[in-house]
Amino acid sequence: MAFIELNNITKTFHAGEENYPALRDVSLAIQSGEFVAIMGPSGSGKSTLLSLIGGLSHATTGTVTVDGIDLGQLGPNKLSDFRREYLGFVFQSFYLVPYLTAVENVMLPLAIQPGMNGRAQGVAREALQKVGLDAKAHRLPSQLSGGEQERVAIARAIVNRPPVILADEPTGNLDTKTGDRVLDMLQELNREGRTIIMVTHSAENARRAARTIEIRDGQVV
Amino acid sequence: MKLIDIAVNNLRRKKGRTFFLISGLALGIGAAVALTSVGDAMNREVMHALDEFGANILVLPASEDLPLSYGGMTVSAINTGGRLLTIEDAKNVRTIRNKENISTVAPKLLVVSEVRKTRVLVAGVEFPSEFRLKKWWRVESGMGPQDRTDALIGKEAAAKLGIGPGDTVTLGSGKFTVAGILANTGSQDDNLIFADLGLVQQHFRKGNAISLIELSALCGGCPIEEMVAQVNDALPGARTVAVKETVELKMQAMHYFHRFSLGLSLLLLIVAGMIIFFAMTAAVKERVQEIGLFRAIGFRTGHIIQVLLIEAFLVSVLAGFLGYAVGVISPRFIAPYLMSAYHLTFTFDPLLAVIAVAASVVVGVAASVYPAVRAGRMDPIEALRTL
Ligand SMILES: Nc1ncnc2c1ncn2[C@@H]1O[C@H](COP(=O)(O)OP(=O)(O)OP(=O)(O)O)[C@@H](O)[C@H]1O
Ligand SMILES: [Mg+2]
Repeated sequence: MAFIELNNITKTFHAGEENYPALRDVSLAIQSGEFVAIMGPSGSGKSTLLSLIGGLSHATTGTVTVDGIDLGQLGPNKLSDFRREYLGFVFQSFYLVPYLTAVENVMLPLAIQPGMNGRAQGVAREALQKVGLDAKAHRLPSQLSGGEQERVAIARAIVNRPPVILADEPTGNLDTKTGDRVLDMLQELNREGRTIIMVTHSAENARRAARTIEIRDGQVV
Repeated sequence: MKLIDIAVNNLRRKKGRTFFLISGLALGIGAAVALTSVGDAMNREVMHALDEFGANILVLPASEDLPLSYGGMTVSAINTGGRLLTIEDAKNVRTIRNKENISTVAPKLLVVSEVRKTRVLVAGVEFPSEFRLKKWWRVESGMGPQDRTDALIGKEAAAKLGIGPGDTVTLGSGKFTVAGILANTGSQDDNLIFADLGLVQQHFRKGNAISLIELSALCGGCPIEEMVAQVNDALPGARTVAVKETVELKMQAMHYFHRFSLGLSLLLLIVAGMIIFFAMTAAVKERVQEIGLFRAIGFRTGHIIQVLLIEAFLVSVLAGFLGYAVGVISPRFIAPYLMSAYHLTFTFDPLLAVIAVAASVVVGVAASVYPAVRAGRMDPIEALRTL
């Protein structure tokens, strides 16, 4: 069994009278430690796929398993705990909490980690160091550039050392140079042994990954 | 970093919103506190006024039948009774534990005399305390007693006997000058002649005996029934009773004010709760993405609720203290303009402070529970629409 497995997944959204199938009979297997890029046109279902792997929503039919855990069987609290233990999210629009400083944002996942008291600050500073932002640890998001904000988001995604990192267009809002730095970081994290699944529009970015999965109209091609 | 740090930082860094929340709740609490303390002060004032309004405790000789009819003039009972009270008893009343609460002690000796061939009831009184006890007494014609031998006569008695100011009457073995006529009181006093207690005792050969003592107790807070028991203990030969009507009137007034301020305070708290409810609901809406992020990171529903309720708790505690301060201080400045007729005195009441903070916390947290639970239950994918 692969580390991440999707078996005959469909995901249907109800928009008023209509039922819109965002994903149709998708099956996938991703091994532990892989760096996978997901490509496809806008509206093809990439983000939907990521949200199913991330346990943010349930599939309409089919099963999603991560490390042998069937996500469809988990209730809301267990699903939260699963995300805390397994996942780091990096979003296109960075989603930093505006009233928390960089280091406080990075510490967020540790706030609900048992036994983290006292150590959290140090661990968060370490993660910030890794993305080269230790010097600006005490700035609020509004006092950071877009690239810096994205790096804070990456630091937050890796701070509790999750085995899987889900990145949805992590370079979408960045210039090429800054985007390259972010991609370097993801590659570095992959070399450390983390499984990375990255949604991207750019074929060039996708080349950083070992494998590319193409999605069109909710189906893998 | 703990959940409380998230809450504290949010409050600290969104000062405008925090200020609005705190002042909204503090205003409600403050108004309720102000109302309560003004209500209490008015209560004390009214109690004070009522306390001075006639006797509320009556001390009688133990052997007498209670109705005694000092009003209905069944005087024989008074005269033939066993042991009478003495002027010493009137002094001993002042020795009870709640002696501070006694405002007036008015001893009386009632005797029957014959004036111009008509039987009339004569009351030997100490005029100063009598006037203090009966605030409604007015001298209609003539003037108040100036000399020891001056007497006052009730309106009806004056008419029946055909006596007016300046006339001389013989009471017992002594001669008295009628100084004035009392205006109609609608009570037994209209049929009486009032003269100095010492002289009446002397001229009717009663030694230092008295028939009864009327007491006015300042009883805003003191238990009348307990004071009655204390007087009974102090005066073994006497029977002490509370004048029910007066006591009940006071209690009624007290309850009226309490209910009034309590009801209005409750209303204010409900309004404050609604302000918090709507402000919290709006804040949650504004923070949808943030909450979605918390969920994506692995926060449970309970963690989200905790963060939001900790915020509500902190806001409420601050609002409680601020509201108490506002509610205690503001009446001092406002009351003189609104109620210049009253002499309201305000006191620091630690119990009220505790109640204010507790009420603030209960209202603030309770009003936030529903928005917080809804936020916690929010579908994370809906919250992060652009994932
Ligand atoms: N909550 C929803 N309700 C209804 N329809 C939805 C919902 N979420 C997504 N969809 C639809 O499902 C389809 C796939 O959406 P998704 O966000 O996965 O696309 P995407 O591949 O990530 O596109 P993009 O590259 O623009 O981000 C879209 O047509 C979208 O309109
Ligand atoms: Mg997308």
